[in-house]
Amino acid sequence: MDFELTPEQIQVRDMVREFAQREVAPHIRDWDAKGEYHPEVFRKMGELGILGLPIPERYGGGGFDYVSLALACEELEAVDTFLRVVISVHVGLNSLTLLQWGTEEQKQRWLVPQARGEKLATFALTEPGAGSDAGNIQTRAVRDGDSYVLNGEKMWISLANTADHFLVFATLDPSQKHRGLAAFMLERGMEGLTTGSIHGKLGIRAGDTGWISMQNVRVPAENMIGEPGEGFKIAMSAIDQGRFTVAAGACGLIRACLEASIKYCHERQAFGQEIGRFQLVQQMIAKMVKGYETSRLLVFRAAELKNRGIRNTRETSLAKWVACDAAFEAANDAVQIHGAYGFSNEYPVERYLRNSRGAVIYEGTREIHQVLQAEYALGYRVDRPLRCPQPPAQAFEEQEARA
Amino acid sequence: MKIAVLVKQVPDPNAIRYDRRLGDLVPGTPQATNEYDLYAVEAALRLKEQLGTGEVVVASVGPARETLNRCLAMGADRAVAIEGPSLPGDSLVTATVLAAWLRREAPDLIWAGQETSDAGTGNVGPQVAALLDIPLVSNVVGWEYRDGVLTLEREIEDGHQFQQVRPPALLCALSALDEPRLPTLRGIMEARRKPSDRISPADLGVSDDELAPVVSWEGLFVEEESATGVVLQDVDPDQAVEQLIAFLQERRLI
Repeated sequence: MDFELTPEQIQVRDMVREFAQREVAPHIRDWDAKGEYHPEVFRKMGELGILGLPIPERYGGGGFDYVSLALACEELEAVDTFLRVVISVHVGLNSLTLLQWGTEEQKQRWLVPQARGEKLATFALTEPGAGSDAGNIQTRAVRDGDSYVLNGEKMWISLANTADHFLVFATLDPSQKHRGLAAFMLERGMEGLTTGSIHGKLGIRAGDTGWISMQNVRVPAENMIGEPGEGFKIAMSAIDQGRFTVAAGACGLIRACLEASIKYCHERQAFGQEIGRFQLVQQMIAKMVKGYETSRLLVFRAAELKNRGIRNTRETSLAKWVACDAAFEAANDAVQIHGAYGFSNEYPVERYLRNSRGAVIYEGTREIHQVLQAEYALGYRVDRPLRCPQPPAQAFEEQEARA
Repeated sequence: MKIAVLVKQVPDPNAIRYDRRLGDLVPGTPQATNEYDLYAVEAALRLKEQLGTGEVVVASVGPARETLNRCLAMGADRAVAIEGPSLPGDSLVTATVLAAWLRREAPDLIWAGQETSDAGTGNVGPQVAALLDIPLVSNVVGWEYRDGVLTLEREIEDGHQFQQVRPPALLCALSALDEPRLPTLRGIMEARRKPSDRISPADLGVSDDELAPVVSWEGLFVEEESATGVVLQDVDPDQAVEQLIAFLQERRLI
């Protein structure tokens, strides 16, 4: 085990940190308070290559490894969760899924422009009546000649109003439950495809969360990713990547809570001394340190498995569960340390608390992850080989090729 | 055109913590690229882009791996780290070593930051120019290159001054120049394949005598600050409001 970051990983981390600090940090309080969404930020992320970070160079990406991806997610969410969400859906759930399951033609058509940041992409599995119970989705895809006709609604879709490409899951046969699902790439502008915003969210108010409606959307058969009936497996492997970015981002949120709290502990005086001197405050700081370090180790372990193309559903789930719970606790404690000031948006910690809550629900609820971990431990759950395994990171591919 | 840029890795000004017991910075203080130097690199890259040809070489005295990597990722073509047990010494030692390297490289133009955020002497640029006996233009906040002549805008005490110089010359950058670009991921990847040399003063023919510092450091301390307030008495309320606003604006509180 090597806990040292490589010079390239350090450079990626520093570049993403500077980008987020320069372009978003000065405005985020205002954007969040007004619920303003600024998609121009994504154009800049694309220019810097952040939107194609782990995608191999031959598909227009940066060719960086999963540790670099984790560091980027951490830096983005340390400024605001909406920035990391873009990576989760565009890179994790969509682009890496195309890389794993797409045909060469599909990769050239959708993955290349996505990795270059020319097109934005998202992922649409959740429906008004189906979240954790993904096998029960109601969106129908009916074969008609050389295309499929899709009808249904998707809900809680990040980048719903911004994305150019949508990876949509639909059932070919509801009686088959999860075995009846298929995945399709849809493009904005297809007739019958409309999107809208969801307002009144607790957190991630500077982000674009919305719904997608499909009414008789005709999708060419060549837009199907994978094979008929493979949709559930594709969705789950996509979620392995999405969860990873969420876990890595949660580390950034914990770090932001810790940094804000340490600063405040040194500034704020009570009973004649800085509040950092009080042991019950120290306990909260110590818990944040514990949450940050343990979460990061779990994320990096999952990253190493991903780098080598080794199945990591169990490890990624554990990292996501631990990191997101720790982030919520850290944000809650950060508000407590800030006292009444923590209750106002004069300080960023109330935003951290609101932003941290969603990740305990999305990309597998806390409860789903506990069930997964218990089932793995009890031997009720076994990961079987996939027809298309997750490819290793570019550098590891090259290593293997040399060997 | 061959452009050399002199850069330095310094303690990150946003992460500096002072250890009273050590009388020095806390060990392991994160390092960063000196801010003015990044403006110098940006100016050099833009000039090369304008000309459509040329080479940008960055050099640093003392440990600066991250800084040189960053400059390469921004677009510099080559990096040189000049390292040795006696480096970094005082500003004259640094300038002597750099001048020896620059004599060998013979660039058409040299950019440097106006000063560094650690020692802050602002000596190295002028000393290098003196040692090489080339024109120096300091406090540069704008530039234009046309027909072999550089027109430089300088910030001076009571305004701005324009000067023209024909390279070779040494220019010292201030932060009013174009904002330094962030390295792109592609740039970071390409930087791995760019030449990066490490040389010693001996490689440059600098003798031990020349490496002996003329300035010695006594130690580092933090000046005790005592809070002072401003009391406005017997002032017209309108004036008082204006003065208070000015007071707050000065401190960037509003």
